[in-house]
This record gives sequence, C-alpha cells and structure tokens, in this order.
Amino acid sequence: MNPQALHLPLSLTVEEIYPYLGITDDTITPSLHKLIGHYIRLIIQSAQPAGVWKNIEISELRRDRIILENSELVIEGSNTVSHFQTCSSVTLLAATLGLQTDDLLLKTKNSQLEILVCDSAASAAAENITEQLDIMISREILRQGLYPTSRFSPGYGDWPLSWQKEFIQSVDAGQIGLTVSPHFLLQPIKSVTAVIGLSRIPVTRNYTTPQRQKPCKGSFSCSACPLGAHCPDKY
Amino acid sequence: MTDFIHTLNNNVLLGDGAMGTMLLKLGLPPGENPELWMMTHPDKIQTVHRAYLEAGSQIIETNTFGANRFKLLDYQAASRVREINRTAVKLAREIVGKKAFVAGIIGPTGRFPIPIGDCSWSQLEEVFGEQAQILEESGVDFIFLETFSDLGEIRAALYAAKKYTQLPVACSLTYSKGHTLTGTSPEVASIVLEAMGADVLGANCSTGCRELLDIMKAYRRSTRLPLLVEPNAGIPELVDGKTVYRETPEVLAAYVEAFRQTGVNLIGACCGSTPEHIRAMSATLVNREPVIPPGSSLAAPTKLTSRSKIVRLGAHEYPVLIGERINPTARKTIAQALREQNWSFIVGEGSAQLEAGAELLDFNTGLPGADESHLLAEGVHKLQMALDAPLVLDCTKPSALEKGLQEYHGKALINSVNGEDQSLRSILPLAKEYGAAVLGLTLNENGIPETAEGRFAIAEKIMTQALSYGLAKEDILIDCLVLTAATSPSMAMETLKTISLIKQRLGLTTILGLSNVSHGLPQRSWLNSAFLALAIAAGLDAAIANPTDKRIQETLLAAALLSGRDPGARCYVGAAANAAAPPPTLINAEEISLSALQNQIFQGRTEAIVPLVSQLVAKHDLLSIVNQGIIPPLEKIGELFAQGKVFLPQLMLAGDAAKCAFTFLKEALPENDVQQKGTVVIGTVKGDIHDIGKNIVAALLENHGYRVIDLGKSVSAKEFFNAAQQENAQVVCLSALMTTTMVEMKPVIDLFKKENSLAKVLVGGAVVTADYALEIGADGYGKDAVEAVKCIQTLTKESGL
Repeated sequence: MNPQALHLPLSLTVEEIYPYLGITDDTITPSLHKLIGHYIRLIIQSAQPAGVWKNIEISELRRDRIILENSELVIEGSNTVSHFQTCSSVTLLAATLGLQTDDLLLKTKNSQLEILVCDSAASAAAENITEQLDIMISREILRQGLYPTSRFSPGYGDWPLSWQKEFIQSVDAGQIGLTVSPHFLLQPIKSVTAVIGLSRIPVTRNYTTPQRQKPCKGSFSCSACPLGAHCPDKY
Repeated sequence: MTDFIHTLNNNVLLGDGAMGTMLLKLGLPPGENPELWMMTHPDKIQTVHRAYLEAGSQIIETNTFGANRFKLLDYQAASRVREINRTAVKLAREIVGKKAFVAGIIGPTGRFPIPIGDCSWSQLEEVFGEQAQILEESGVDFIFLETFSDLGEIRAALYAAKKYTQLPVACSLTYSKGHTLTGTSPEVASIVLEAMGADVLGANCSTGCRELLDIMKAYRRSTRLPLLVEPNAGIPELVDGKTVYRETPEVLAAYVEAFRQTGVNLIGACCGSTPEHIRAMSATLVNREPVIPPGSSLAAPTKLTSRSKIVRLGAHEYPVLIGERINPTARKTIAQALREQNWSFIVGEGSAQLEAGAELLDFNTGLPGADESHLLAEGVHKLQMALDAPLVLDCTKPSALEKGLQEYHGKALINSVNGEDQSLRSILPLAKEYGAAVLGLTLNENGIPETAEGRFAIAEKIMTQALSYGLAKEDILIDCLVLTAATSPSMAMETLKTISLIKQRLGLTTILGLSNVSHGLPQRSWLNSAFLALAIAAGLDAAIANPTDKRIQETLLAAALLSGRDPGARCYVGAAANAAAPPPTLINAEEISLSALQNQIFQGRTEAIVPLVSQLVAKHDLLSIVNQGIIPPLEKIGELFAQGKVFLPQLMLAGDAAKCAFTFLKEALPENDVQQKGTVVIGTVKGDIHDIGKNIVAALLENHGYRVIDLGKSVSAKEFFNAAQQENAQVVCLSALMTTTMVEMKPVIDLFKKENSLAKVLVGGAVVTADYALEIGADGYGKDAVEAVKCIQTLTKESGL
C-alpha cells in the first residue's frame, strides 16, 4: 500500500499567518486582519492539498552519507547524517498545495502587500499540511515502538538541495504532481519534502511546532522567517 | 454478562493499557504485525490480558486493532480476517470469563475516505461491517472504535457497526492540539457521532493526560453520553539529552479523579502504558460513582456541523442566514455549472455567500435529466473540502440523498421531507441512520393548507413520525412555507401565524425559504427583507435567502436585535462599526498640511492621500511635498521596521500610500515632471522564480521616487547588462532565494566588470549574506528591503546624483 496519497483538508487561522508576515504580536489593524482572512479563504479554495509518504529501509549508514534500500536518494552531509544515527529506516514525505495555488499566486497583483499576504497564507498552508502528515506519521512510528526524529529536508544544513529530484522520485511524488526545476526548486512552488527517521531510542524533536523553529536554509527570506529576530543565525 | 452500557452508566470503569507496548516487551519485533504474531504466540497475548485483569482492568480489549481486511492486506493476510478476530476474542474471553467486559477493538483501516483518500463509503462499510460482525459472533460485549483520526472514516465504521451488529458502540478519536488530523474538534465529533447513534464517546492515544483532560471537558460541554478516555503514557522523550518519562504510573493515577469529575466513565490508557499504570490508577479510583452532567432547562438548539464547524439554530440563538444561491432551478449559471460539473464555480458561489454572512449553504441538485446521486456526492466532496460551513442537502430523491449523506463528513440538514406518508417513510430513516437533521415542509398530498392550523397539523404529524424513527426533537425543523405575495398577498400572514404556533406549541426550530414571497414582483429585495423582519418577530430561526443582498443583511441585524436575540447588541454594533468606514473627505481645511500627509502615509491610509495631495499642490511646491511630506514618513517607518517595532505589512501599506501620492503628482503635474532620484534595474537571477522579496524592494524604491525597471524573474546576465545600458541605470539589483540559484549572481557581476560598466550591482535575498556579497564582488548588499533602499541611496549619491 506504500506509498499512498492523501488529500488533507486545510484549516488555517489568521494568527497562523502572522509568523510569515513577521508579525510578532496581536496589534494589527482590523483591515489587515480582514485582508489576511480573505486570502486564507482564497488559498483554501484554490488549494488541492495532497501528501504522499513512504517508508524506506536504510541499507548503509556511513559517516557522511546514508544509502537507502532500492532508492537513488542519498541523505548526504555529515551534519545531516548525525540526525539519523539511531535509525534503521526513514519515512520520506512530500506535500503540495497544487498548481491552482501557483496560479492564484501569479494572478494576485493588486498590491505588493496583497501579494505578500497571499504568499504567506500559502506558505502557512503548505506548512500546515506537512505538519498534519508529520503528526500522522509520528503516531504510526510510536505505535511500532520506535521514535520519530525531527523533520529534515534537502537544502537544510549540509544536505544539498540537488538531491531533490531523487527525493521526489523515491517517494513517488509524481502521483501528487510534484516535479523539480533544473535549479532543484519544487514545482508547484508551495510544496515541501522532508524525511523523518524511525529511531530505536527517543530523540529530541528539536521543535514543538516546526513552523516556529526550523532551519532557515529552506525557502524563507529572513524577513518572512517565522523565527524573526530570535534566529541565532540571522544575517 | 450484565449489560455493558447499563453498568457504565452507573459506575466508573477502569479500562486496560497498551497491548503493543507489552507485546514489544514480550518479544514482538518492532514493525511486525501484532495480530499475525498473536497467531503464533497466543500465550503472550493472554499474558498481557491476565496482567491487566489482575491490575484492576474491568474492560479488556481484544488484540484486533489492525485486524481489518485493508490492514491485513499489507501483510498478505486479508483472507485471515475471520480467523484472527475469532482467535483474539477467544483468547481474551478465556482469561476474563465474566470478571470483566471484553471490548471488540476496531482500528482505522489506514486508508481514508474520498475525497481525502481513495476509499469509497461502500468499501469502508464492507470492511468495518465484516470485522464488527465477526467480533459480535465471537462474543465481545461491545464494539470499541479507537484511534480514528478522521471523522469521515469513523462515521463509516460507526454506521457499519450499528448496521451489522446489535452491540453498543464506543467511538474514540485521536487529537492533536485540540482537533483531529482532518480538523474535527471534540464538540463537532460528539454532535455528529451522537446523532448517528454512538453509545460512548471519547479520545485515546493523542497525547498525555493534560491535553486529553481539556478534550474531555470539551466533549462534556457538548454531549450527555458516557465518555471514555485512554491517554498515552510512559512514552519516553529525550529532553536536553536525557530520557524522560513524563507520564509515569503516578502521574496517570493523579489524573484519574480529574477525569471522573469531568464525567468520564471509562478510564484506561494507551501507547506506552503497562499494568503498573493500571494498578496505580485502580488504587486512586476509590470513588467509582459517575458524575452526571447537569441538564439544561433550555430546549436544546439544533446543531449542524461540517467537519470542523458548528452552527446552532433555535429560539435562544442568533437567527441564521442559509445561502440559497446554489440552485439550478432559480439560476441558469448554476444549472450550467452543474451540467458541466464546473465545481470551482459552485465552490466560488458558496464562498461568496459565506463571505456575505451566510452560515449554512443550501446545495440544490435539482437539474432536470441529471444524475442527482452523482451530483450530490461529487458536490459534497468539493464543497466540504473547500468551505467550512455545514451543508443543507436540498434534494428529495432518497437514493441521491443517501449518497450525499454517506459522503458528508458532518451533520447535514436534509431539505426536505413533507407530510406525505411516502416522503416520511423514505426520508426519515435516512436522517436517523446517517445522523442528519431534517427539514419538514408543511404540505402533503393535498397541497399547502391555507390556514395556519392546517399547516400546524402537518408539522405535528412530521414531528410525531420523526420522533418515532428515533430522531431527537431538536433535529426536526419545520419550513412553514410562504407563497408569492403576487398571487396570494393575505397568505403571508398565515405563514407568520404558523411560525408562532409551531414555536409555541411544538418548540421546533423553524426555517423559511424566504425569497418565494416576492416571486414575480419587482424590487424583490424590499419584500424579502420586510418579510424577514416580520418572520423573525414571529419566531423564525433561519431563512434560506440571498445573503449577498445588503438589505437582507441589514434587516437580519436589526430584527435580531429588536427580537432580543442579539444579547448586548454585539452583532449589531460590530457590523455597524464596520459599515461606517471613514469617508475620505473628513480632512478639515486646517488639516491640509504636510504633516497631515506624513501622518496619512505613515498610517498607510491610501484612500486619504489623493484628496489631501490634490489640495496641497495649491499651497506647496512639488519638491517640498516630496521631501517634507512623502519621504520623512517613509524613512521613519523604515527605521521602526529595522528596530522591529513595526511589521512588514505596515511598511508596505505606508509604501502603497506614498506611491499613491507620487502617482497623483506625476499625473496631475506632468509639466513639472517629478524629479527622479535615479534609475534602478532589478530582477531575480537565472533559475530563481521566487520574486516576492524583489518585488517588495522594487515597490519600496518606487515609493522613494526612483525609476525602477523590473526585469521580473529568472533574468540572465546578458539581460541585466543590456537593460542597464539601455536605461542608463545607476544601480542593478540582483535577488536570489535559494543556495542553488545564488551562484548565478557572480556571472552577472563578472559581466558588468568585464564591460567596465559604471552601474553598481547590489545583491540580496534570503540566503545571501554580506560575506557572500563581498566574495563575489558586489558593490552592495541589503539584508532586507529597507536596508537595500538605504544602500541604493548611498550608491546613487556616489554615482553623483
């Protein structure tokens, strides 16, 4: 049955978009609140959220790379490998909001503010779907008597983004419409790939809510990053 | 064995703990199927059952969590469903005898119902029905559906368990941060599952006790059914490098009394727990008397839900608007969209009505010649995926309705049944089986009675019949029907009388298809809104109407307040405040000053800019307006942004306001030609398609009076160079968001150097650092939009502007 695709319903609050807009308190004007609400509705309407995941055995765990069974994908980088030291298998997951959301992002041209709000709502939606998948996958892992590691994606730390293509092939993300550009960017734009390890011993999930604490080597600009001023690596 | 539900209603019972955790300790290899392992290690299963029984469990759960056809298919064991379930029940019963109840466990299939997954209702019904039937035959005391994460799937499981067995059914979902995987709160779950006939409701797995206590309190607020809880326990976590067991037997035991006080009658434990946990809980559970929730003196409101949202209707609730516009009979565009299955149009129509204030959506599929079963099911899929409002399924064909009700992951309202026996016989059982409320029309085979008494008699018949089918009184709603005032003006008052009669004598929730009253007459909105006010005064609870009609919206607000259904006038005052947008003409003569312009720009009030600037040009020269009116607030807000005191959206709003002023000045005074501060060419580098940051910088530069040539996304080095030459640009800005595209910056800089261009190159973007900018030989670097603008101001000064 592996891999399987899911179309999860989206549910987003205005407050969930704040981190993506750099808003750190609740003092925004009613008109901005309304604008965010408006774009949340548009995103929910346009999105065709889909997720897919697959469990893969680790065939070889070296100091600087992890070779997976029957998969071209290599989890590369000595810092990255350290996250999966105690794992004998990993779950690859991919999620996307679909092409209609890309269209909406392209068509939104009213003002730069509206473009930013629309994009932020879409980013929050993609994170929301990923988080839902994470919760479900983690629950399954715990039921097997194993422990989920944090999510980790190509492009984080020293795992080159150039593995993105092999990643989406390995998880069969084509079935939810995911492709990779020649510069290794995911298409549709609002998509996420990540790996969760199945650890034999408990490991720190170094975030409670991933959207608030994630490495910023991914797709955020510093100003749109949820960590904002709290980021230790802020440039 | 005494009746399980009877015992549970009179005692707080202790459940058992984790099976999987114990089996792992007894040698089950991680990742292996516990049900198949049971077939070769039956003694181990019995060891676990015995340990829990001895620890004090009064309910022992069968090892059948994954013993459904779909799950076993993953292990090529689909043909062993019967054998495995029978064995599991036998093993449990042999240990407990009559000393405890045996719960027949059914877990999720791992597949999800359409549209979330690819599983049809009939597949789920078959799989769950098969397992439930075998569990009953094998002698369990009740069916226990546990660890479900989707309301759609547990609806199908509950339906099947009820249909294929005579046993009580307990329903337990798993929650994270207050809702299930697919967005359902405990309140919604209880409304939907109780209406479908669940006997016990609750939560398991999820997290620890603390979060589940809140979940159980939420359940208790919304149902009087017995509750169950089984928190996770004993799962170690790594905190600061140390393994920590947060939920020890002592911690779990400490929560037992809190659960009992909340009204939970079945308390057990889930993943990670052991007989030690149960023993500690048993010792604490001294008082086994259930806490019965207090009843309410008020009549229960009608509650309808989507997967995630509840709408209440009734005498003590705010009157509700039901959007009428998805109706092919009344609207040709809808008929066409349904015929072409243009679902995005239908969803858009629904969304517009919700935005206008509708809380429920009527979905009518009465398209002549169409397959209504298909349309209703498909429409339900699409609407419930995109919109969160509960649906009113407007269809009178029982077969189509049944399909729609199966696919609807919530509690719908059926529109409609009427006083004819045939209609009552075919529709009411559907409402009961699928847990829907039903709207009864006061008409029968003889048509619509002329008098209020005549209509009341039909309403009473509908109510009596619906109650006899087991529907709750609050799930029976009545539409008193209104005819057009064009042909029967006096009849409108009979409708109002009927509403009053039904409210007074039956206390049912009333709904009215409002727009009929104005059929065939001009200015329909006048009649519709007046009749809405009269009907609310008579006791109407909801109107099927056009929510985008402003007059309807305003009348509803006013009538709700005047009929005492808007306590503290909260809705009215809130809406009135929104309606009173500040008119742009409010600027007084003495306020026409440069500092007023500064203020308006700082606050980002674009609507006030043009009236203000148009008067300022008479008093001030252009340069002062720009340098003393527009630039200072931009600089101030830029500084505050840099200090983290204002947020990006505010910065951009101010920018938009400044742009508004510049645009006006350019258009109003072309002969003066607003002096440009310089020309900037901007774009994202080759391969990079993320342009939000670049656009913000471009907008900010324009706001500051620069001429900006935006080359867009994925721009090659040559294109940058040519544009810079052609436009005589002083500065070229390169943006990149990803490490993989950032490397495209260097070739651009190299080209400018090679050609000895005088233009300065500035770089920026999420992954670009000051060090990197230096390394590739850029002339400047902006860490954010404000800094980029500052840097460009410096660079343009250097180039002598």
